[in-house]
Amino acid sequence: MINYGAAPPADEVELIVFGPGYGESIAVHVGDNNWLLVDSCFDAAKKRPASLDYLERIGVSFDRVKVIVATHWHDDHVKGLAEIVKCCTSATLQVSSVFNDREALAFLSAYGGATAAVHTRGAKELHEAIRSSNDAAYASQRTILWEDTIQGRKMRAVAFSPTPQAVVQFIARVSSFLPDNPDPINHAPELKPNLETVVISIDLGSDGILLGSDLENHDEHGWSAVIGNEWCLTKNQKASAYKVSHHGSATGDHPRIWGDLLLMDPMSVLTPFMNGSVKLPKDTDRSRIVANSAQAYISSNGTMKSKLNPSLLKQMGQVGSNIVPLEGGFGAVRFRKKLGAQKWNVELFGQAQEMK
Amino acid sequence: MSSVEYMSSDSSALPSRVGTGSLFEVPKHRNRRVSISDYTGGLDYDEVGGDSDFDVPAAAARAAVQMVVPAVTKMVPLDVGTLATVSAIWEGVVVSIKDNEMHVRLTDRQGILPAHSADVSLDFVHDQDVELVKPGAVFYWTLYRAQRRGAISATQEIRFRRLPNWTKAQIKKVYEDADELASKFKTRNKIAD
Repeated sequence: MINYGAAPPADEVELIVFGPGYGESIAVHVGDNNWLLVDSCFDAAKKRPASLDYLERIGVSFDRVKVIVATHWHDDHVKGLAEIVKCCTSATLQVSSVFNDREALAFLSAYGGATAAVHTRGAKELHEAIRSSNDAAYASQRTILWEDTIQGRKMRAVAFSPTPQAVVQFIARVSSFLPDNPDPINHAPELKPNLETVVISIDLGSDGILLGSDLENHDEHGWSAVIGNEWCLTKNQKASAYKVSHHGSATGDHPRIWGDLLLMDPMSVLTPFMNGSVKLPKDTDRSRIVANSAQAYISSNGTMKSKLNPSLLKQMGQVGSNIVPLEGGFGAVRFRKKLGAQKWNVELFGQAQEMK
Repeated sequence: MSSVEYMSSDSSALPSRVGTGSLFEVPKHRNRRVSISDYTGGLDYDEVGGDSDFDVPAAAARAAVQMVVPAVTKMVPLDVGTLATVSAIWEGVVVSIKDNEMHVRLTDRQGILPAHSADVSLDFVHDQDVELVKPGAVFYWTLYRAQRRGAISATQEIRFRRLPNWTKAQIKKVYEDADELASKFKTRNKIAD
């Protein structure tokens, strides 16, 4: 069992990123025992949301969670989200503003609601989270997700995305998947590229934290639209810590992220994405991230091997390949520093590793 | 026993139509056969070939299989002299299709095995199901071990779920539910300077 030690003191800021190999979850301590939770994944061994387990084990009451952000609805970012919402009753649930539309919410209801004959896991979890929330809000570029004065410093978390263009694109895309008689009922398809996700910038007063979520770059949308926005560039602190976007993929990157949104030589952290033959980050991604960072860490680095009965696995291998568990190799990367300090202290838990 | 009916604890989640034919009907795949004999369990090994004694009895072939999710995995009599054990029943969802493979996510229908992902060759999709293969489609991948006349063999099949169409009443409920979700959004975020 991982020993996370004690909660950070009031004047210390913390970013912890959890990843089981397929999944991602983040907790941020912004000072004075105020916490922001972003997305959700399970610690497979504990079978409960990693961030809830973490808070409980370091002795933080769930009512200290001020904001829960559901950056997007993909399976690997929402597992256990509804449980978090049910436990953290003081928090506002922030959901991508792509759902600020009746048809987009109908899409969620169709594939994740009570009437759905077949549930898509991500849609079901987000649907249940919204239904369970006492207070929800739509996050879009330039909205304030949280703000307060901590230890005499004005601090805030703002959304850099989704951009207005992404919202329009998303609604156009989901419209074609809305239930229509006599269409057959199916699972919701994954909509690619991911432009609807919420990127978060946390202003700590002297520097910041950038949580890149799974935003990808595509034509003039995604990262291009963030970096092309004057407000994102000039009205927010550059970040000294970066949760790398989209599991380090090339499509989740943009050269100007490193130059314009981050301080020189930032601390980087990411979660892997292992799903069959799709494995992120690739070696080229690792090299790029390491070259741009003072230090870079990954929550889990193990090659996941199936623990199925060998005869069953052999039998399945006659039909399929790349048969791997969705979850395994859980780990967490924690950055902590005193408010106003420059240097982050790093702690690694479970399968987490430094990338070199 | 010429027809087989298994009991399920969750019939709502089952395929609306599994298809006709025996559990042991092997899809005719382009020069490939899914049926495999790879497990001897300490008993005499009996190679299962195209004309083996593992082939479908005529009576069973005509029988409609109505349910394939047993509440308890145990030896179930299928035919005189044949016992079958379900090794695993995966509910799969097609994530993407590339070249001649579908990338899938697998969840154990019996809730025992951890979720997996895999790439499955489209060669193994039953001819009757080919038109159903698209992202979001649901299928069941069932693996069995069968014992007949002392020989243990393994076989498996992949069948896609044929889903009903949306009804007008369901669509109405979807929009009512969407309106209920919208009512949860009480806070309006401030716009940053």
